[in-house]
Amino acid sequence: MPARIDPSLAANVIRVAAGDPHTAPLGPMFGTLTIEALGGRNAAAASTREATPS
Amino acid sequence: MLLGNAAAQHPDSAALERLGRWIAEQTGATFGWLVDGGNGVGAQLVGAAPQDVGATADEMLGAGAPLKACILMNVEPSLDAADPPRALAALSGAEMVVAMTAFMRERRPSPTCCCPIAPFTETSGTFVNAEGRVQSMHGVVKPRGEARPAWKMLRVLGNLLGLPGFAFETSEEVRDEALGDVSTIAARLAAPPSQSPDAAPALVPTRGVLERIADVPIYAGRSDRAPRAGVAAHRRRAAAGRRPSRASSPPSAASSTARRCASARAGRRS
Repeated sequence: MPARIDPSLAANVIRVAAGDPHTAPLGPMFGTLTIEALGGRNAAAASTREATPS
Repeated sequence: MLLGNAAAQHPDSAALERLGRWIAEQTGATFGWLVDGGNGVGAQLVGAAPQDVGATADEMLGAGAPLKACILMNVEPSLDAADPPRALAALSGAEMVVAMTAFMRERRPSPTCCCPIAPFTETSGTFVNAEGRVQSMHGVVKPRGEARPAWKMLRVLGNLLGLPGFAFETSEEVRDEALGDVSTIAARLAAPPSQSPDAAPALVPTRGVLERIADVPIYAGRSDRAPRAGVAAHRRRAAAGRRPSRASSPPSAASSTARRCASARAGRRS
């Protein structure tokens, strides 16, 4: 997925659209996002842990 | 002040609403929702949510006991659910899943029996928009093949189960029974009084980690499955150089859906 800086978002917040087959495997729409390298220079994997209701 | 679909889908949606109402109250503004989906307000009006009994979608698709049976009406769990992997896992553990759908080329739990329903272009019906305006329409073409309007399938299901209140002959009868006096809709949709500011819980931001927020873009998500699965969206994605996914492939004809259901009835996996 292409990524770009969005100055309208709060710090450490990433907006990833839902309802898209490319983002559906991430899991919950809201929560902590972890990113880790897959090995390729530009490849990365991400997953979402479910947000804990406050 | 208007909250949108991202706020509506957030796990702390109720808290966001209380905060929004409080801010609106303090500033002399009016509070409202712009929800996703073409008929979300209509669904709320007719009580299409757990009342005294029943479970929410989150509860049904949670980590509780496996579902015995599930009927999906115009729902594509792999994209429509707030947590698609969890939804697919829960549905895959159900004893039986019946999908009432107008589109065959979508990812769904297996095995699933498919019943072909007519899309909104092929049936009469009623939408209620975000401002509470009731909009009825006629089907512009006849449903193809064995496809039928979804309300007729539910009527027959109710009849077969011997349930009262399913003796409808037209969609207009369904509308009148479901909505009642339309002149009172505005009052029924009026925002309830705000709770006291002290009752609004604080939303604690996470620090030191990346936090995902998500919205459902128009033409992509719950808002309307027709453009999501339609030929135009398929061509747009192809033009953008993205490989079309199964969910974004052009819809097959309802007659194809009927054939698949006939295969399922014959004992072969759909």
